[in-house]
Amino acid sequence: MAKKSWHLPRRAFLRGTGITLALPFMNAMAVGKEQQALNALPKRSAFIFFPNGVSLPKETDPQFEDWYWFPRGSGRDYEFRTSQQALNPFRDDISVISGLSHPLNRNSGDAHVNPTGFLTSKEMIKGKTTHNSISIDQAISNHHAGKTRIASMPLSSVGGVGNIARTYTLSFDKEGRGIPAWSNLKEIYEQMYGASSPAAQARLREKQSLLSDIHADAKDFRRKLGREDQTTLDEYLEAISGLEKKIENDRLWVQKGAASAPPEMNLDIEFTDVENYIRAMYDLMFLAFKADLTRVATYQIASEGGTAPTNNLSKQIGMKKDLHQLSHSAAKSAEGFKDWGLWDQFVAKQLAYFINRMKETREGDGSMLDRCLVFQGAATSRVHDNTNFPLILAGGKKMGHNAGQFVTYNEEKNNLANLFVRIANAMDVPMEKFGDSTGVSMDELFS
Amino acid sequence: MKRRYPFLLQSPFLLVAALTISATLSARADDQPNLQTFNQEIRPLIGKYCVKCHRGKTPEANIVLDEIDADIIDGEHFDRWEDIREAFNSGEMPPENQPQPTDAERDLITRWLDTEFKKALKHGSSFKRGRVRRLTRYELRYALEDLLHTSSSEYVNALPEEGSSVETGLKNNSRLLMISSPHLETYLNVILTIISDMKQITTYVPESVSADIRNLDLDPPVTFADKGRPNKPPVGEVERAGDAVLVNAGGYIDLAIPTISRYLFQTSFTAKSESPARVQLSIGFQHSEVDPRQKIHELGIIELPKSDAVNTYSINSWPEELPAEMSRALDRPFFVRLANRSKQPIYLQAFDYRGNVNTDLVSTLVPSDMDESDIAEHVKKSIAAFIEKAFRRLPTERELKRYNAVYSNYAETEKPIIALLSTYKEVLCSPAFFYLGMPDDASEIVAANYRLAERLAFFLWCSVPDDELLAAASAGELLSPSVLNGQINRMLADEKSRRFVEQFTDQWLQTFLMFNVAVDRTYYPRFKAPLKDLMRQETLEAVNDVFRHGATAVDFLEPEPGFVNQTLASFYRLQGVRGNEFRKVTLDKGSPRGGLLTQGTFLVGNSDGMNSHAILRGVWLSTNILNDAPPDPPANVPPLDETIPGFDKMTLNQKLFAHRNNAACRSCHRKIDPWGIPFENFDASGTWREKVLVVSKKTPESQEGQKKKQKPVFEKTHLPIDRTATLPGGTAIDGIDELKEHLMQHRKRDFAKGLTERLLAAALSRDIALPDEDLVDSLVNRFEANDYSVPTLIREIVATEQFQRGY
Repeated sequence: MAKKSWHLPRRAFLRGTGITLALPFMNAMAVGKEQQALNALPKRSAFIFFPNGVSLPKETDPQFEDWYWFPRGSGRDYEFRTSQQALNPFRDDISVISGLSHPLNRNSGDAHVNPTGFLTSKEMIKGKTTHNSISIDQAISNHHAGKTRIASMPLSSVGGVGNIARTYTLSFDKEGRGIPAWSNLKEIYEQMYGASSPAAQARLREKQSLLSDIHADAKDFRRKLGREDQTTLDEYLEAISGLEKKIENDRLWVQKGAASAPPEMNLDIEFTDVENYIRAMYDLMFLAFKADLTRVATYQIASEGGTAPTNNLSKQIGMKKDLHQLSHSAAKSAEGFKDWGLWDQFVAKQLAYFINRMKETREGDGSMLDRCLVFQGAATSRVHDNTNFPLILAGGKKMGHNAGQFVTYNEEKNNLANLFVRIANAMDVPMEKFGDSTGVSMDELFS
Repeated sequence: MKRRYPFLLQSPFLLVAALTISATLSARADDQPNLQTFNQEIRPLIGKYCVKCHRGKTPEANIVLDEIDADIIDGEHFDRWEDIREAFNSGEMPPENQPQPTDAERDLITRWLDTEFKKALKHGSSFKRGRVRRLTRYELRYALEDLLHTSSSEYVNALPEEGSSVETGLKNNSRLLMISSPHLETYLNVILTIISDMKQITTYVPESVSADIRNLDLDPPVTFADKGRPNKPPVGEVERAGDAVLVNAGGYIDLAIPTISRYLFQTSFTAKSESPARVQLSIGFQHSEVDPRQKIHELGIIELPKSDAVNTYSINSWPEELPAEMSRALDRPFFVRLANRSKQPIYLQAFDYRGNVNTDLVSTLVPSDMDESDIAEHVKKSIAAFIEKAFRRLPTERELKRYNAVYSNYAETEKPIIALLSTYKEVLCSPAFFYLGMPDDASEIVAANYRLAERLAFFLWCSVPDDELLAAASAGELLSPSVLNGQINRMLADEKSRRFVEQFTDQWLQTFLMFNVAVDRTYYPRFKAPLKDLMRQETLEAVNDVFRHGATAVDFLEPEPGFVNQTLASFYRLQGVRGNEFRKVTLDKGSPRGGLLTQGTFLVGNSDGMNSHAILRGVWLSTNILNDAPPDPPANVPPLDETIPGFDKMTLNQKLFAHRNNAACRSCHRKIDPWGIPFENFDASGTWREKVLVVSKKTPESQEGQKKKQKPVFEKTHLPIDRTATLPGGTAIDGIDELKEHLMQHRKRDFAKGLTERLLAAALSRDIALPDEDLVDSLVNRFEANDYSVPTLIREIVATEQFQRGY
């Protein structure tokens, strides 16, 4: 049997993360100024996406009681139904949110394009973006540029960008261009720890030298071009400078020795080995947060639509239907919503695993979870219905999150982008507006 | 500091407009907007007749008129003014039931608009544009393949796909081809990985295996796997015929191969047949020594003609084309299989396999048998030729010196072939490769020749020029019309122009829509996923016939020729098509299948997988065939109302029509839906129907005491078809034949114009705008006069001043 990624030899684990977690704030502790040390603790946020919405049978349906995704009750007095039971131990660290979505996303003729705008709130129309814009994770990451070795970790099961109508990434840069997501566990691990290996250092040097040639060439060509074409090359030069800075940053961090001795992990897992893969992804996010290699991550568990490479994930965990069928045929079969709910249950179990790893890890005056906001959701409630996204916000209690409640918003008056603004604020980003946010404060969720 | 323009994607004109404002310091009166007239005379009229509806947050047609930049020449709202002018001049606005301007007022507005637009056309900086753009992902893929002779699709897939122009659907639009740091890093990784893998490939030792036909054991003893299951024998239905064998109908021979090839592999055989026969070559493996199940992947089908003499046939394959589980299962017992898929016996003399066939690759780099003394000269020539092809121009002295020095540097530690690849890597990282339209230090005439070669190659091949085209450029002959046309004809005949057909078709007609639709097998048990690839192939073959073989573009509308193979024909219920390859068939009179409109690609693509979708089909037809894209849907369309009585048993169209049955929606849908309704005889799987099938869930009657899991019960209802529609002009259309007839009679020119505009847009890598109107009109006229020949249209486009100057 394959060794699961989270079965780390204890010794390796200690060597891997124990040392590095101390690095960023150990010095401050030594000074004896406790509060200063606590303030120096990094704040992180993770944005997780799963496709096609969740099981939401009608109230009259016998499956409603158990398999409806949203909890019973309201406010502090809420109770998870069957599919979200795995999250029960973390009830006080979690807010369940209903009634939020992106109004601009509602008109696309093709519902499966919505993930493209999930973290940006921009309008998508039938396969062509009118214009996408920066995603919230990148807005946060840009603000904290240079503070960590890796600016942000865009992760997905398929990797790359996909096409604009079926993206394999959740992250978009300030011009609305998709940022290629990482999917290969070995490569992610390499990104996190590899910069210290001699081979990786040689590759960094090679890229640096190539870039310096490219830079000189581009400047030379630019001089000989007309005005209009110069702007094209200006953008290219800007990309070169950005990359040069990133590589320089990588090398600096190597020299500082901040890249820790890597923990041992089984990285030979494909996304078709569903549970092991998802947990390995969460492990990598956990390790990256813990060692303060990055402060922002996105993770697309699966992409949308019946033709997505990840569409069979549910079959691969032993269910009869693929993801798209689960969502489409729920109303057509007697136990359709239960089947769908079983998939919801699976997703919740993985999230619980991630939350638990952070909750178990002491940090400062609490657990690591207290300084990590985990946002999980889908871009539809049911398939093809782009309202009332099923959202969970976990952790971040020491970042102002009033966790432990089920909040229902009025869809007409609230946008998901308003919540993004508050998450960014909690990440110390002074931001008043994001995407189509309307300035509603959401004080019940954040203080 | 450069400003950023977040609205770039939406309006390609704005960037240049804004950037050049500062440059128009020496302004003359006739390139200044006449704002005085606007403020004193026009604005009050707009206030009187238009603003009532076109204002605020939810303006009609999404056009705001109370806040508009009246500077048409350099202002922000050129696009909006274009729409306004069209609506106003055509009498569409103000609407009939609203107060109308007097003739004098109308005249005033028209005159002001005309003057301003003329100024905009003449002086508007909005229309200046550059010619430099980066390669698209697919162009990069093809260019790397042509330069490096290796398949590159796996590598370039790491790069983001380009967005499509909202106007044309095309992806090579220079305004959309942006670059960012992560993109650049991925690009560098692609080049570094592909070169490092190639270095590995050059070290492979080719391996070959031949079936020992003369001593072939025709009756191998049965062996048993675990649990007593018999292994499939390596031969079946084969008998001896002297030194050769006869492979009878359904027979096969397996040839064990050492391991799966990591590079090009060839499967070949020598055979004859007394009547036409068909041979299938595949590769496969048995799960393990003790698990007799086999996994088989077809490499290709070869049609054997009737022949008295043996011939050798061969198929080249790449490991990238194999299913992932195959390329990962490195240590399984692999074999290649030759199977007779016809009713005739085949006389087989030889059956061979060659793996890791890197010989061509090695010899194009540095042949392994080359004399040491010749290598230096060979490498120098190779580098110069490689730069010329990669940069689409002659290398400068400085560049030659530089890259030769790069080579010498690497050659100190690396073998010549490896050092050469290292040098190529550096060439491919240069912006001179990655960007088109870059400066050239050569003399004006030489530079002009190479620029044209570059544009032609990227237009017709989506890739770099070949040796012959470069030779014509270097001889300075490409500007001569006869040489140029000769080259265009040669390029269109070359298989590489299939790339253009494929890319253009996918982007123009949005074939990807079909791949986003999951066809519901409850409705369509006959539909199988591989049909989608065949349907796309059908569309590509139809376009190929017009673009490369010169069939008239009217074929796209006409109910005459169809393109099918056996599988697709049988799905469409067409008789008499045998064989795997696609062919052009003349359809029976009365068959609804000819032309683009009724191809599965669009019928499936514009459905929801269960039922036909008249609105999507109408939008598709208006946009792609009538060249008249309807406006985007308004914000906040409510979801379908499931509380309508009988909702479950309504067709999708009935649901949709009930849904848009209010005045606000109806005015637009009157122009869209009639174009989709006549398609109603085609279901969501693309087949003909006489009734509309609706599947609904039957409420299961609960039986007391029965705890067994209940299977869902479906109720299938057949509803009558409603396929009659009244077109916006008032013409009544009943069904697809009348629709095609109508298009042939009245809309040929619109279709021709749409196609011309998109071809021109593809050739110029930009959207087509107002100043191109005369050019487009004259091209469409010539297109009509030349019996809608696309090769001729392509030659005319290449001859235009716009194509020659590159923007």
